[in-house]
Amino acid sequence: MFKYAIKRILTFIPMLIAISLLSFVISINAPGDPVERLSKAAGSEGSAEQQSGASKKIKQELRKKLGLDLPIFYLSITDLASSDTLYKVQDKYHKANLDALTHQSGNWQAVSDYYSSLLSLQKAHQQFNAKTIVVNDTSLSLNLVNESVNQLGFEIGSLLETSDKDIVALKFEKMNSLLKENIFLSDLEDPLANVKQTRENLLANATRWKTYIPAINWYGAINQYHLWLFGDQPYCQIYYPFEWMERFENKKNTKNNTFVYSIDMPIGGKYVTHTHKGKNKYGAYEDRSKKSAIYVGEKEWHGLGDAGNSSFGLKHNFREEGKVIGDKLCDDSGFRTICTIISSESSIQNPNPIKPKKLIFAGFNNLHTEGSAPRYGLLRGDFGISYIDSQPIQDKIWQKVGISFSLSLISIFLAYLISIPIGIYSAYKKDSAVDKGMSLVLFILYSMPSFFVGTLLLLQFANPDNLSWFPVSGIQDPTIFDPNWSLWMKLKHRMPFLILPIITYTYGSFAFLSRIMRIGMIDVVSQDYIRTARAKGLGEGKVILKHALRNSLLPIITVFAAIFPMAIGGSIIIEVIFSIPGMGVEVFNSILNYDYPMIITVFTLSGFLTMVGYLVADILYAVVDPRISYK
Amino acid sequence: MQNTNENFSFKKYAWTQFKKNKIALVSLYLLFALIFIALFAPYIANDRPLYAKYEGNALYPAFASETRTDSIYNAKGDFVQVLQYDITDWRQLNLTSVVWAPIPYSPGSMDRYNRDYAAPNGKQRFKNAAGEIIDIPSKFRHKLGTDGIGRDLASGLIHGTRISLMVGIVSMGIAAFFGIVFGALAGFFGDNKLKMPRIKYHFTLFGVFMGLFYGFGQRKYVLSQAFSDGIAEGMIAMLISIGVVIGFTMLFRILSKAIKVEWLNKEVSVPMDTFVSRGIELLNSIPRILLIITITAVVERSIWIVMIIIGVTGWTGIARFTRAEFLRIRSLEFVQAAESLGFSSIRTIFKHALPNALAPVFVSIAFGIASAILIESSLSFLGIGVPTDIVTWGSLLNLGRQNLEAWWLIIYPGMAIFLTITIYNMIAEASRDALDPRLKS
Repeated sequence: MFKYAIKRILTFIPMLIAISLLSFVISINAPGDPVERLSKAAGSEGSAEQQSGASKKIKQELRKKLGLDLPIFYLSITDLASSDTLYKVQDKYHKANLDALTHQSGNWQAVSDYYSSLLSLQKAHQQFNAKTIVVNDTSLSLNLVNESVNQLGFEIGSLLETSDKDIVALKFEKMNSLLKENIFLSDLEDPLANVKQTRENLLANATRWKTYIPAINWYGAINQYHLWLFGDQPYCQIYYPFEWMERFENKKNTKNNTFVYSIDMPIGGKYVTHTHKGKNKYGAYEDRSKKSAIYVGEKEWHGLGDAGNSSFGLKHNFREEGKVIGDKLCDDSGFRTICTIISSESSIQNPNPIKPKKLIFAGFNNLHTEGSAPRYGLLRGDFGISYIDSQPIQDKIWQKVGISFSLSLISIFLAYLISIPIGIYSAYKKDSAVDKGMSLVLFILYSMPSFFVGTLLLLQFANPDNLSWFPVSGIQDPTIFDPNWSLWMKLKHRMPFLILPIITYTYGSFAFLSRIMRIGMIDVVSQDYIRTARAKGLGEGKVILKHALRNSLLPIITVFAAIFPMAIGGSIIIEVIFSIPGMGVEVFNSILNYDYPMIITVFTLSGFLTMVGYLVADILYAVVDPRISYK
Repeated sequence: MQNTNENFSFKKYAWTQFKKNKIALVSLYLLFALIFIALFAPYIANDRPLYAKYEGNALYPAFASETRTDSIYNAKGDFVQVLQYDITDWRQLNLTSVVWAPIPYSPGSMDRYNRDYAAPNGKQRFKNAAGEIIDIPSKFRHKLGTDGIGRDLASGLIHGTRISLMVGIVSMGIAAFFGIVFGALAGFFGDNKLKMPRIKYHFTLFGVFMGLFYGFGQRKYVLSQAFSDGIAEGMIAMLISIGVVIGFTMLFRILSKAIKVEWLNKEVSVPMDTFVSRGIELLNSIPRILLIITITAVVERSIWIVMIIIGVTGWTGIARFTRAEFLRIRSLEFVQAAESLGFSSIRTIFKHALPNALAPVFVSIAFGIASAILIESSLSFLGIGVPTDIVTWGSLLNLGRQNLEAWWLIIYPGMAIFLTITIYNMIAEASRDALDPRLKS
């Protein structure tokens, strides 16, 4: 039995991966830009200019926090023309446009030139100050200047987001005429000419054949899916024998004209400085990055985005003045990096020479940047943050899961309690009037949609026009309810609120269960061993309850498997009708508010839990029926 | 005796068995009635008259297209006015003779004199041709009441029939297609009956990959452009894409013949059954309503998309039945005869085996239609997925839930949903008993 359970759990793993992939695919296809949503929710104060600066920064931080600056998956299948670093472009619409442009021309180099020239045009435009123009040239009115500047800004903005040839031509025409009409915009002529030139270059140097050759880009473990699933925190306790200090010296070494990046590590009681030099700021980073084991390639990146983002690995040679003092060998195995420091013949005169030590670093340690919240990944119960209030989802759901779970548990229990006797009775009295009537009633009940039944119950029993026996909504009266009450008091208080929902919950599964029970029982009663039991003179009660019942229980175990997903997804309809603050209402609200992380969480969890339910049902089968042997 | 056996037809037998179940027979007639209502909904409930005589001109507004515009001249040939059919208030016109639809309201048109939930038996108002507000004449009475913005419930129900039945048919059509094809392939070939040279197997997979790359990856902009132009253009572009996929697969299969290496040409069996069974297991492991809700949350709101989603998520039951049937049938003599005669597998599956496997599949489709209708009405009851301007039974019931005083908005749409589902369930159950006496309970 134990072996069987292990085997079943092993077969779940590919299914769980499939479910996680499915929900991830749905989540990245969700419309809208999560960064925009969250930054709006965060809000900011201050003047318009400050706000745009601040919100830009907030957006950048959010992007990092959500891991949106990473590639989507371990690999991507594109064509030869596409860039494998497109994911670094921050704006979702710019990204889509760049993709479309690349698809049109097949020349990523030209496209990125065009894009960066457009960006510099936009930057030049943003530096434009209408007020100074008006001060310098009093013949102009502020409104008119503002209008044409804004107009130009709009044209540039839309050029960044469109790939349609006709529209692009139209926008160029408009910008030309704007520049011609307004002499004060002449500062922008050069950037605009540059844009035009890169555009022509783009059209002239199209290499469309490149789009017909498929290409696979490998990104490694630093990607959004991996981060979502596993998080960026180490799974094992780190044995961190030394703290290292990162010192990015932005200082310019005037003599050699180099930038220096250094890491100080206390090894053997003294700090060892590990330096990288580069011709410029990024060069120093680059130098460092080249030694990395996990390094996101930049082969076709042309100065867009922030090169400082590039992740670097942990493989460093520890050098002291050119001598190797210790070599750290790193083995990147997916979500963690195991590093071993192998002591070499050290030149350091140290009473405690470095012993070979095994270090376990989190693969994402380097990726986790200061200021953003650590992510633990789906597997450790970190489901991300809600778009509505930026709160962690796991904090929001547990209480609600409790409510939904207890409701479904009570109703399933009641359903079993009612349906098993009914099923047995009607099978026992098969084809009698009672059985026929019962079958018809059950069949009709079975076809009654639960939302109709729920609404009817409300209409009849919680309606001042008819019978106002029960409260209409909620599970407690906030004016009376006191969280310090004893469990009994709480139950007593909640009882009237819960009766109608429980009836609605129960009746659907009850009709279904009774039908299954009856069919199963009829099947069993006609078996030979029942005839044998009767023939040897057993009482009818004993035959039915002892010999038949146990065997007819099998099919209804299946229903038991449904409890688990019910707890997490809740019965959306019933909870919405009776305004029960469980998971169902939570899902409903998150759909109305486009809170995708919440939807995806519930989706993934119920998938996982259904699998658990199947497992439990299978094991219960084996318990109830010893004939079932699993080989 | 010999004679009767020859005349014995399974269809006839099943039909006699079915007829014995009186409730199912009644259900079948009711279904025909529903189909009739659905087909003729615009002529049963329409605020444009079926026939109207205006200034000597005979008009058939309900049969014309909605946006039709007519310039009306009177008998003397003088211009009277321009009538745009959908915005004209026909009740205000001075019509000499008129035949109204049985329910003289369209589902979306708002009667502003009977807003705020006019009860079926309560006071209703009406503005007559003379412009006076009077008690409503019985012809124009909202016989089942109105909702909060004055839309007629009866008309909504009639037009909702159309949507409900369409949801059932379209989504189960999709589900049946996938279910039968996948189930048949899985059941017929099993895990080791479909054999091909190793090189052909891998080339086929590679061909599918290349086909997807060129058909969908490289055509994504063409496809999205076509779909934004219209559903017909989109479908054509989609068909071309599918053609590309099939073409590439075929191409690579042919190419594989050119390679002659012994190890590569060794026969391997394709685990068809495993592929399909895993797919079924995956879909079943996610609660269906949650899956549908999640997908509808990320795609555009459209009734067609809802139907497609219900169909695409609903094929597993049908596939399981088809698979089980094929597992049984594939060892029967007539299939073996077809195979030994050298018929291709495709021909054997779809021409010889499939017709004999359809009976249980049909039952599962009928149950599937009932559940598809239930899912669609649940979604519109929650206001998810289905656009808000489309009147469906579920959305009407939702209006009633929000205002419990309007009992007619709860009872009538709820009964409509309930009846339709019961009808399908009854028919499905009776045909199961009729088609497969072994299962009779």
